Amino acid sequence: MAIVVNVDVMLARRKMRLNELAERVGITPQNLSVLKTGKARAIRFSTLEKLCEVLECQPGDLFAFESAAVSGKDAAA
Amino acid sequence: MDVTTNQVERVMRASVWGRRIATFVIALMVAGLIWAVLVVVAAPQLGGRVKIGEYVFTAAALQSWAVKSWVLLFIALVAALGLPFAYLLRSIFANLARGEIFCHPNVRHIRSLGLLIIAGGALQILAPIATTAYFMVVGYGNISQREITQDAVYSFNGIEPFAYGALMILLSWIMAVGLGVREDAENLRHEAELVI
Repeated sequence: MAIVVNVDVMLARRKMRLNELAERVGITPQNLSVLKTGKARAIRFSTLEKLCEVLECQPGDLFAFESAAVSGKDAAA
Repeated sequence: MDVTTNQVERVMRASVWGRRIATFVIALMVAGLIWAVLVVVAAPQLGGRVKIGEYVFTAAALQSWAVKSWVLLFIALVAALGLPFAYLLRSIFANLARGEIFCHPNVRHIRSLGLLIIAGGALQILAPIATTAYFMVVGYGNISQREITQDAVYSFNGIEPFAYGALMILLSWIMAVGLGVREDAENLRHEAELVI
């Protein structure tokens, strides 16, 4: 998928564990893992709002767009 | 427990009995087939008579290999339609007993049942005509003359088999659409589960 999820980067910066984040955001650790591994199809604004509130960050810190051409060049390099 | 679960459980319980009865019917059909072949092949000893439509083949008539082969062919055709019909019915009951009600195998089985019913209807129409033509060529021998009438040649048993067969095929189409709708709903549910 072209959207890269950087939740684990923010988790490391805030020194927080996955289970703790899931509990504070109000979703299951399984769902958070689905999001973290990039398998989620969509995210609700309410969930995004809580993630940003708990991790004290902006939505852009959690997600990045990587076009297919760029990811192909990186892989070749 | 909701109504749908209750209905499914009732269908599953009844289908167990349906499967057992269908198995018994298949066993009876196989036994009947073996007995019919024995009667035809060893007719003089067993003193049997075979009736196909309006034609009655006595033990004397069955002495001739022309008559024997025709009767055996007819028995084979009826078995070729009847045994698969019973087996398909048993398969449907077996799937229902496992709780697999709306599934691709059941759709295929019901469609095949419809085709077999239509084939049976075609056989009912063609058998008297083919029998008359065959015995006009090989000779009537000891076949009961009183049974051979113009009505026997042109007997027509109505369009019921074709109507029933078409209805079964229509049911299979409706079931296939229902199955497709359910699969789409499952896919949507799966997609919804991936919305965090």
